[in-house]
Amino acid sequence: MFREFLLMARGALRANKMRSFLTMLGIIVGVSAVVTILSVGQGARNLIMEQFDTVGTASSMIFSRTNIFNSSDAFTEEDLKMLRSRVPNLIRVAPMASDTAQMRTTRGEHTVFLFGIDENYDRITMSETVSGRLFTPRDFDSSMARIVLSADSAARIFNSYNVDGEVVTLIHGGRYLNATVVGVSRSGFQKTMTQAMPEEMLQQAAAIVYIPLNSMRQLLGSEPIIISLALLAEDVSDIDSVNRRSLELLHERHKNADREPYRAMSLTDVMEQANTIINIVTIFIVAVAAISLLVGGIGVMNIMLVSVVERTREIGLRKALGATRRDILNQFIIESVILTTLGGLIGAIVGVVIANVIMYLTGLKPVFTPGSFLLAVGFSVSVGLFFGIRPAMTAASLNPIDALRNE
Amino acid sequence: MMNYPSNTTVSPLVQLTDCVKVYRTGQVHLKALKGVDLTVHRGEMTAIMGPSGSGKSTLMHIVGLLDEMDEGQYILNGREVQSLTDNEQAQARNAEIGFVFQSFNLLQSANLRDNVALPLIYAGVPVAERRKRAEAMLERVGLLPWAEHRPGEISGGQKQRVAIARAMINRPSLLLADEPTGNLDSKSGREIMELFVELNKMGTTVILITHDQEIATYTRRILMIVDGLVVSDSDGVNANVGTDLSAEGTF
Repeated sequence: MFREFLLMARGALRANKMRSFLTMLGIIVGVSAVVTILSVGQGARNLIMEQFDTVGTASSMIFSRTNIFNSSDAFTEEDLKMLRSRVPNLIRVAPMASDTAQMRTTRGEHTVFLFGIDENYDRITMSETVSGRLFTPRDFDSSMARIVLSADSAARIFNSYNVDGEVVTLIHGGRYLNATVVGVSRSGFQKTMTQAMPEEMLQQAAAIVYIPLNSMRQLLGSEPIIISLALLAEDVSDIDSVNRRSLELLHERHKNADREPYRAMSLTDVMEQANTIINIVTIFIVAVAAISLLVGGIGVMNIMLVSVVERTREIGLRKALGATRRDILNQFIIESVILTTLGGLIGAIVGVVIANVIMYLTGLKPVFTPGSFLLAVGFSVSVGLFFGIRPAMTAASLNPIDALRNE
Repeated sequence: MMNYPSNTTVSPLVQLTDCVKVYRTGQVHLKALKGVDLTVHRGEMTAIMGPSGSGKSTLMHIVGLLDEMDEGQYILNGREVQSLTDNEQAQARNAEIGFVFQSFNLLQSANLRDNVALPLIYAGVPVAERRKRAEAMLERVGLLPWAEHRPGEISGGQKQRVAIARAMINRPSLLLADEPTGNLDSKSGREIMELFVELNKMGTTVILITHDQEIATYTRRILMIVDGLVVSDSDGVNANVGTDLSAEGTF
């Protein structure tokens, strides 16, 4: 009998193709939104987790708020010594000087963001080599300038990661420095740093360039200003106490506790922030999608009620020929469930396609969550059941006489 | 279903006693049937005639278990039916009664074979057998070549033949036709009437509702209803029943 109802529903939906499609549209939009956002959200979350893994969980960063920064706030070699000796559970600390410069390459001239670092930096950030190599201890003492590019920067300027061996010229305040690119690196820390960088610098800068402090000094012709520090704690659980103690000591030493120009940020913070944002966006879009499904469901109910009125004669005829109330009830419920289920399936497919397009454009890895797929389709089946019952009951309770009399 | 105990084979197929039907719309109560008795024996072909508003359609609806009466007793095929549940009445309609309507009532979205097979769906007949039986019925009414076509592609007379095939497919004991020629030209009308006569000769009990005198001439018994009462009953087959009924009808 179920098979007959399926065939009847197919016939009825085919008889009104355009209307069936428009009725399904609300469900399609709702379901595709849910599937898209859940899989993109999962992709973004996975990306953050990946970075989190590569960085090492116990690292954090102290940076200066550039809007209230003045020269007396800059970190010094003495600050580093003090932190090393007086902050418990702090294993390693690295200075990070930053400045902008022009970089002349075979591909043209770009404004770049320079990060002057020492040999501790890569060990704290656990940077990974994308191509070429990272700095070796010799690079930090060498009079030959060598630089490492961030992966994004290499891709942006050279359209390739394989740029080791490229010779570039760095220009700052009328001073020139030839430097050789030795490698391209990637680390979760890069994202953290960019969060700490002033907006206008980020907009100007086409690339992030790592350079040994020594070479940076050569380029600037003066002592580079260290505005941030990278810290590595003994264990993840120590990060908060290490950050707090370091800030205390630094504010105390620079006598600027009243202005609090320094901030600490751990990778866990970054991840939590990003996760929170993703969750808020997910909840918001799922809520919108749920409303769309609800409205879609009301649309289904509306069309089913219209359909019952239109098919009054058919219902009367079926009853006259021996259909029971339950037969008619089942026929119309199945028709409405097929409508929404079909809408749900189309929506799920559309959602997967949209998610893939978004991921292709943003470079995220596509993630198929069968859970979201099942949730969306299951929800649309329920919508069909819920909103189909009322019209089906109307149909089932029609008196065959009244139905047949309807000329 | 078709094997009756010997004692019920002599009982009438339709035995309706003192049937009263009142339509209530708000404060207005309209008595459509005012105590009608109707007995129809197996193998009869009866025409129920009457002017519009006389109650003849109401009577057919009650006989066809499409409507409930307010008073009276109805025994169909040896079974008291007015106290049956909705589902039991649906089953009884499916098994005992074939309907033919003035406006054919074919499903436009289904082909002729599926239209003819429709009652078998509700009888729970498997699809292969439904198909076979529907095609056999279409062949009997001369429309097998049109099995795959839709009702919109055939003439009125052909539609009514499809409707008759559908009515007959579950081998009902009673065929009820409400103005079956009302939407047809006179030639098609005659062909349809000949089909009813043929079915009747093969043993099907037929009740026709009509206001057309000429149509009524195809039947051996004509029942006149006026204003909710049977006013005459000419029965060429069973004089007893006829006399009996006309006596009560003109009461």
